[in-house]
This record gives sequence, C-alpha cells and structure tokens, in this order.
Amino acid sequence: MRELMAFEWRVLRRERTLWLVLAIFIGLGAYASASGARFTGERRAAIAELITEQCARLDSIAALMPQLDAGTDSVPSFLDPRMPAIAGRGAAAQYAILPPGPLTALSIGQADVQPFWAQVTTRTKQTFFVNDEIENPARLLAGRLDVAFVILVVFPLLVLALTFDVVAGERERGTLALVLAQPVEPRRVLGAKVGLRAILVAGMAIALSIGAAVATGLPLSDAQTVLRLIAWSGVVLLYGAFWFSVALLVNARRLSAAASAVALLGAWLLVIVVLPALAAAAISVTHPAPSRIALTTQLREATDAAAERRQDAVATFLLDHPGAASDSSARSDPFVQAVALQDAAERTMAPHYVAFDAALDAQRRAAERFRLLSPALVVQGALLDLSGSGEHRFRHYERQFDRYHETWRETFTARMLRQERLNAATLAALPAWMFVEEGWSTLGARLAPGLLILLTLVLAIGVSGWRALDLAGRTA
Amino acid sequence: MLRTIASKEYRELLRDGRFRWAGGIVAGLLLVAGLAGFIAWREQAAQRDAAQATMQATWFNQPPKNPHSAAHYGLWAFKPQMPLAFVDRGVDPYAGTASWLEAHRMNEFRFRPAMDATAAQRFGEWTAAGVLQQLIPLLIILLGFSAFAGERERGTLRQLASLGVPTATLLRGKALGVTAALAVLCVPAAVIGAALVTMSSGASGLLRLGALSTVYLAYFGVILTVVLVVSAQARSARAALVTLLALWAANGLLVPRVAADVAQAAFPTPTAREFQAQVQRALATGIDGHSPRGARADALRDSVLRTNGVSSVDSLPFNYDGFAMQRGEEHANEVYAHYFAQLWDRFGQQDRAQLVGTVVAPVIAVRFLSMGIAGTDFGQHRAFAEQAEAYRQEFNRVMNHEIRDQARADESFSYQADSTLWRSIPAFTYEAPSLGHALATHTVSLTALGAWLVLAALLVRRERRIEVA
Repeated sequence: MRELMAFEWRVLRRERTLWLVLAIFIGLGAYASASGARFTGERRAAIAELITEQCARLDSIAALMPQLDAGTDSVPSFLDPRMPAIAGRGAAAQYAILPPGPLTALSIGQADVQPFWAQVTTRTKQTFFVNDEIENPARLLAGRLDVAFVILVVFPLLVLALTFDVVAGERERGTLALVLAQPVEPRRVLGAKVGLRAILVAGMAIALSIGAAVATGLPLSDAQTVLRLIAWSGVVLLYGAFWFSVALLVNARRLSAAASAVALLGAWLLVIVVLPALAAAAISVTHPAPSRIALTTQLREATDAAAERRQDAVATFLLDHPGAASDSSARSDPFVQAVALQDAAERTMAPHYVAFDAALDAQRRAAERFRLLSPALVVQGALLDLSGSGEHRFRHYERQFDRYHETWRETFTARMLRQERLNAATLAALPAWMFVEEGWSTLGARLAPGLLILLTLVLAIGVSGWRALDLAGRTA
Repeated sequence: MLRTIASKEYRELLRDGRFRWAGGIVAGLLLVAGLAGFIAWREQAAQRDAAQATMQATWFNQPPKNPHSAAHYGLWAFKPQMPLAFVDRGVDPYAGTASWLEAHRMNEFRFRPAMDATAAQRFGEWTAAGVLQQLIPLLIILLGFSAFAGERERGTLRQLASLGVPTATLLRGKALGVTAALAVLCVPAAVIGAALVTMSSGASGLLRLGALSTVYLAYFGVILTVVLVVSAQARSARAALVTLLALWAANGLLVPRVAADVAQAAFPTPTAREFQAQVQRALATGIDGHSPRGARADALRDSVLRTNGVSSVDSLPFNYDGFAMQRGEEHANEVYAHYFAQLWDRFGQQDRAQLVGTVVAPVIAVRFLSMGIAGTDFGQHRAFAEQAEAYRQEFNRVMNHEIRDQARADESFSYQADSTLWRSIPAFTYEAPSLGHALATHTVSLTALGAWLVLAALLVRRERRIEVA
C-alpha cells in the first residue's frame, strides 16, 4: 500500500494543479493570518489605552481626595469625586472590557461590529453601551479575509481541485486500462489514490490551523488556547472530510472529469451560497432583530412619565432602598431625585428590556437551528464559537456586564443614601470588572449537535462514496 | 447569420439541464433575496417612521421648562430607509441608524444593525444586489465558458470556419445568444423589482431602478466579454472554466477584501478613543490648541462689556448667559464639524483607494455605484448626519437666543418657556440627495466601469482570429 501511495505521489507531484493549489493555500493563509494578527493587535492596543486612562484617572482622584478632605484643594461641588453620585456617574467609572477571544486572530467574525468595552456608570445601560469602534462601513461591508474565511470558502475549492478526477482523470488519459492490467487489486490502487489525497487534505487542514496560530502569535503556552486550537483543528478536519467525501461520491458516479468538476462546483455553490442564503432569509423573516429604535423611544417616554411624577418616584425609591441616613434630606437631594427618576423609568422599561433580550435570544436560537441546513454554517458557527468572535460569547459578556452594572449601581446608591464620602481606600475597594470566559461544558453542549450531525453526514456520504467507487466499468 | 448563431446558442443553453438548474437556482435566490429584503425593509421603514414621529412629539409636547433644559432633553434622529435599500442595503447595516441630538455635543451614530444580526446571517445573507454582483457573473461563466472552447473540442469550430463565418459575427452571435438566455432570468426579475419599487416609493424609485439596471447591464456586458474572450483563447473547455472560476473568485471574494484592507492601511482611521480625545482636547483648548476655555470665556466677556460700554454682565441689554452659551455652542460646532469632516473625508479617501482594486475586480466600482444609486452609500449616510447636525445646531441656537433675548439677568436657568417655543422649530425632515447628486460623487466608479466597457469593446475587436483546433 505504501508503495502504491509513493507511486501516486510521484504522479501527483508532477502535476501543476497540486503546486498551484498549495501556493494559493499558503499565500491566502499567510495573508489571512497577518490580517487577523493586525486586528487583534489593534484591539489590544485600544484596550491598553483604556486601562491606562482608567488608572490615571483613578490615581488622580485618589490623590485629590485627601487634599479635598484637608481643605488644601477645592473643586465645584458637582465635580467632587468624594460624592458617591459624582464618582459613580463618571469620575470613578470603570471599563467593562471584552478582550479579544482566544482565537479571534483566526476568525474575526462578528468582533468587528460588536462593542468591546463600555464605561460602566450608575446611569442606564442604554446611555453608555454604545461604543462602536470607528471603522469605514464600506470595509465592514467588504468583509474580512481571515483564516476562517479561507477555510470556509476557499479550502473546499482546493479540496475539490485535488479530488475531482481521481478516477475520471485516469480514464480520460487512457491510463486506467494500464492500471487495471497490473497484478494489483483495483481496490488497493483506489485506496492508495484516495488515501494519499486524504492525507494531503488533512495535512492542509492541520497545517493551516497550526500555521496560522503560530503566524498570528497566539499564546501557545496557554492550555486553554491550545485546547481550543485542537478543537478548531478538529472542526477544520471534519470540514475537509466532508468535502472529501462529497468528492468521493461524485467520483463514484463515473462522470467525465469536466462533468464531475461542474457537479462538485454545484455542490460547493449549494453548501456555501444557496443553503446559507435560505437559512439567513429564514432567520431574518421569522426572527427579525428587535428594534433598538423602538427601545429608545420607549425609554424616553418612560423617563418623561417618571419626571411627571417626581415625588412618587422618590418616595417609591426610598421605600425600595431603606437605609437612608435621613429620609427628609434624601428627599430633597437632587442626586437622589435623579437616581429615583432613573429607577422609576427603568422599572417601566423592565418588561421592554426583557422582551428585547428574549427576542434577541430567540433569534440566536433560531440561527442555531437554521445553521443545520448547511455544513458550511455548522462549521462557521463552531469556528466562531471556538475563537470567541461569535454572538454567544458576546451575549455571555453582556450578561456578566449586566450583573456588574447592577452591583455598581447598588454600591453607589447605598453609599449615596448613607451620605458617605468616598476616600482613597473605598475607591480601591470598588467592585472591579473581570471577564470570565464561557466554560467548556456550555461551549461543548452548543457545538455538539451540529458537529455530530455533520460527522454522521460525513460518514454516510464517505462510506457510500467509497463503496460505490470502482475502477472497473468503462475504461475509456 | 447573426440571428442564426444567436438562436442556436440560445436554444442550446435553454435545453441543457445543467443551465436550467443553475439559472433556476440563481433566479430563486434573487427572488428570495429580493422578497426577504423587501419584507425587512417595509418592517424597518414603518418602525423608523413611527419612532421618529413619537420622538418629534415628545419634543413638541415638553412641559414648560428652561430652554437650556429643553436643549439637553434634545431628540433622536433616526435614519430613514431609502426606497431602494431593499435591493442594495449598502453600508446601512454597518453605519448606525440613530443619532442623539442634544446640547453641547455632536454624537456619533449608534445601533449598527449588523451588531444585532447573527454571524450566520452575515455569512449567508444575500441582498438582490449581492446576487447581481456575484452570482449572475457565475451564471454567465457557466453559460459561456464552452461557447468557443467546447466547439473547438468537438471539432465544430473548424466546420464553422470553413463555412466562412466571420469571427466577429460568431462572437457577437454567441454573445447575443447568451444574453438572450440571461434575459429569460433578468427581465422577470427587473419586472418584479419594478413592481416592488413602485409599491415602496412610487414612480420616483423607478428612475433609480433604471439607473441601477443600466449599471448592472454594463457590468454583465463586461463579464460576458471576458468569458467569451477567455473561452476563445483557452486550450480546452476545462481550462476556460478553471481560468474563469479563478477570475470570478478574485473578483467577488478576494480582491474587494484585500482592497479594503489596503485602503485602511494606506489611510488609517483613528480609534474611537483617539477620536474622542482629539475632540475633547480641541473643545478645551481650541482647534489650534492655543486658546484654553477659561481664557476664551474671559476674552469674550471683556469684549462684550467693552462694546456695550458697561462694567458688569448684569447691566447688558440682553441675558449674557444665553449669549455666551450660544458662543460656546458655536465653538463646539466648529470643533465637531472639523473633526467629523476629517474622519468622513478619510473614509472617502479609503473608498477611493479601494477603487484601485477595480483594475482587477470591476465588482468594486459596481458595488459603490449600486449603493450610490440605491441611496445607501456612505456619502448619503453623511448627508443625513450633516442634516441632523444642522437641525441640532438650529434648535440649540433658538433655545440659547430665547434665553439671551427673553430671560432677565438673574433668571438664565430659571426662565421658563413653553411649547410655543418648542413648536417654533419645524419638525426634522431629511432631504435625500438627488440621483444626479449621488452619482456625481461616484465619478471615479463611473469612469472605472466605463473603462472596463471600453476595454471589453477593444478585446472584442481584437478577437479577429480564433484558433480552430
């Protein structure tokens, strides 16, 4: 068998197609890696800048506070950082940062349209959860040439270019008859031809994954990154196996080389274009994204309504938040009033927020179901999820963010009502933001169904293709 | 003879099952993309119009309050859906749909629809424009790749040559045949498109649809020429197909992405934080960086006191706070206008740099033209942003002047105005640029597409001799 494979390799390596395919593959892989590394590099730089700004700001407040206490310095009361209402509303606000995902350099995905930081304040989320990175929309529209794109769209074409004429090629060149005349079992010859190409395809899949990981400078000493990279490579292998098995099936149909090329191209179009288009249309028609515009007008109406019943709002707020140092002074405190109004508006908004999030989650779930329409979408979802640049990690961030925001607000409200003054020590003890990645069990549970279905499909197509594949029949 | 060749080509294509399948799939996708786009478009247009009306009403119905509080209350401007946006959404999903108009600051646009869509949609979603830009060329390749190469392989090209058919006639006849086959798909699509456009915007949209059709016809003409020329030159049908597919992938998949990267690298944009920091610095110290806020305020007060010949702002014949706030507003307007114009011009530079890619990928020019005609390019997003900003400046001016002219010196922030003042500012409406204006910003794309057409014509003329075997 090894001998046969060696023969086959000698034949194959003298063909221009192989080298052309490899050259395109390496070229695109290198470009895509550089592009991904650049993206994450820029993100990290922007995040470093945010953290520098935050540290400088907090340090300067911490230095100012004792001076204000001692009376050696003064600021207007509406800028006094010792006041919890002032500090919580901006002066001491902290950035809730979403770092680039573990493998974002390989797959930028939705990361270029999702905000990756927000300065958490005591105000409503709607006022600050809006930090889009500046980017020419025409570029966002063009899309990224990242490693995931090369894998999803270009890799199948290269697999097909290597495999479309395993049998038809020999037949059309007239060498099939010669091969069959040899004292070797036809099945073994086939095995060598198919096996060698399988090794090539698998090699390409793994080389691209590992090569890109090295080229983009992923931290390969980190166990989590390596685990994800292994899973990522597995998904790429599975995707390669899918296309390989489709090619086997088409090869078994005894078409001419040109006809099988067209048939495979049709399969590529079906899986990469047609089925995803149907899935996307189905998602947007059955589960349109909830309207942020509507949410904005609702928030405004809720705020107006709260302002009309200012006294009620303050009274309700003080009932809900016992522990004020003095009820009467709290009632007339403009800061308390502002928070109370916001609180009342948020209470009116709560069902709208819940509905908005539910609609968004339903859309996400529908997308997961419609993904199953196309292997390309299953693989895209898995690659994005593993690299942490899909919508799930972002929702995971949003949920942590909401909890942090809640804690932040409670901390400052309590201090404001107790009429506490902040000092350098309390400043340092404020709740700090910390993003926790999703666990493997959540990730695995989400990925498993699609990947298992794909694996079954690959086995079914591959086995039936291999069984039907035959050298006998028309030799010319 | 031309007709005979064309009708032979046309019949052959229509009878071939593969092409019927491919054509059917592309037509189906065009239909799905158009209808799904139209449904989403109608939904979003209704939501937007309702929201803008509510928003405007909240402004008009403000209770009596201080005009400066009203300016802080402000209102939101929501970007309307352009009539042809369902054909080509252009940059709309990526450019934000709403801007908050308030006192003192010009806000960036928020709510990019792409953020709330799923990755599956971004990968799979096709607008009608996407189908026209990417899939129809693929169909043209499938229809035409064997036009010459196939006949050569079958040996029928030699027979044709022996009959004395001029090469030019053969080429034109085949082009006509493929065009006719394509028309079977495109004409109904255009009719459905026209019906939807009439539903969405009436006759005015039809002019734009006409312009859009012209651009795409020119594009298809270029593609068809390239396909036939490659087919005439290729050694075999298989070689023609492989070459054409490589060109197709470069045109639609690779070059536009690379061009966008190169444009960004050549003309970098600041990060959001850098941009905000620049603006804040300029607000504090002036665009030139040499006139700090405090010094500016002092100089303004001194000069006003001098001109009016009084010693205290309280003795001025008008309210000084209202006057000074408007001056501050004007300074901020200048700063924002400067930096936003700088940023947007930079986007423009990037877009022009992307167009260099048109040399190998005509789809880039077509994409910009298509967005321009559909009213969804960045230029028209900018037009909306600028009109919203003008409205913001206007209501701030009216509010500040109200304080300046009506409030006593001691009631700058306690003076109350009522809805007569709020209603004195007409509701915000957006005047979209005309088609001519939109096209005028795309002269480079028009020229590039024109150059491709000329090149195509030259290629056809050059094709005098075709190897028959």
